[in-house]
Amino acid sequence: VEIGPPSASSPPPRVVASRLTRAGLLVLVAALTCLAACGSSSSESTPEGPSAIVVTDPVMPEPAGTSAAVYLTITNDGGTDDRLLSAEAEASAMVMLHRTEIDDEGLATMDEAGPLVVPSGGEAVLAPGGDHLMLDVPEGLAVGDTYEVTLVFEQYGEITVDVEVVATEDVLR
Amino acid sequence: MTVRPRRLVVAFVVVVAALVVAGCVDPPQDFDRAGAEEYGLQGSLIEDALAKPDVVFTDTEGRPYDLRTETAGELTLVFFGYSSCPDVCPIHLGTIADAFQKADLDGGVPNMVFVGVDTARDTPEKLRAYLDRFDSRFVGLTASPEEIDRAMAQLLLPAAVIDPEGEGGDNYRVGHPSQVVVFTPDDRAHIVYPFGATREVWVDDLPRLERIDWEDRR
Repeated sequence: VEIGPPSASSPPPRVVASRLTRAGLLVLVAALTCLAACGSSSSESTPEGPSAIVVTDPVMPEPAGTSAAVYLTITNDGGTDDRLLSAEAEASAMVMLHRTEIDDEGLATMDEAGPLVVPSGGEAVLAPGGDHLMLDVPEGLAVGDTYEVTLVFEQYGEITVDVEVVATEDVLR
Repeated sequence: MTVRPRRLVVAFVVVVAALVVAGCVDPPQDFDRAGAEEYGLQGSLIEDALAKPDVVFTDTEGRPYDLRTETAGELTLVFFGYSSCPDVCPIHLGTIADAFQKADLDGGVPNMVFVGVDTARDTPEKLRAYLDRFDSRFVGLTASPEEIDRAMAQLLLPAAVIDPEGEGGDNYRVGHPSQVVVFTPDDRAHIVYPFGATREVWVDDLPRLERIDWEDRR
């Protein structure tokens, strides 16, 4: 899809930096520092063997209709790269791996994403405004409920997780 | 004669900086780091404050809704989205609904105005039902796609993308601006909040936005 400018006559939005973006940068720097530190402390034991997948913090913001998103973190403690191929849920007709992209002008678009790589010794983060699972859910899911979702990996195979339904306002940290 | 790579890099940076200063290259949104912080705010300042769009929308009761008269003098947040959006929209709306409860506000609850860009699917009834999940006071608006694009252009937002040919059926692709535009009680938009603004950001900033004196920014 071609995405044109708002209109030929209007100038592009000029917005000035924010504490928000700076905070984001700080978090990124902190995360990288942490990663570097963790990497060096465990450098003697590089992960070996097959893919070893662990899924943490699977959450679904309380759905405001029948479409919902799932966010989670996938860690691979094994010595082999793996890929998340697909996901399924018994009560959902479709579960798709989606990617939200936000461009320089702030335009958010969402597309189906291909298999998601989870590198050996690394992680893949499914988070708001980025990669996530999009699925249809039955009406009536409420905060505190859990929803079973199965993730299918190329190497590791299937892993089923209980996704916790949480208040939407608690998703962004 | 040889030129050392570092000098080339320095020269490149100087040239780019000069172009940016000269206005030949549009700086990305996060170019100038002063802006909002000077006002103790966490959003992104708009270079020249904007008036409310002159588009007359239709609200979820089917009545005409003119932002300029309906929200005159009131703190008003405007966001363009669609009801089947599972990622960006509900997180903005849920986060803002909760911040409205928790922020220490003098002037009552601000207006949260949600304009549905997916006009084919988002009927007034559907918008109402969607917004009621977050806060029944949220205002849902529709208009023709052309009028909605005109409103977004007046707010310097990127135009919506509706791609019914994309995936076929009911499952088509929609693109929408991810930022929330804030009109302060002076009826101007000086600031937008990008996606990712947390409840804490809104709880901190809403009371400031309610009372702010933009001084020389008019």
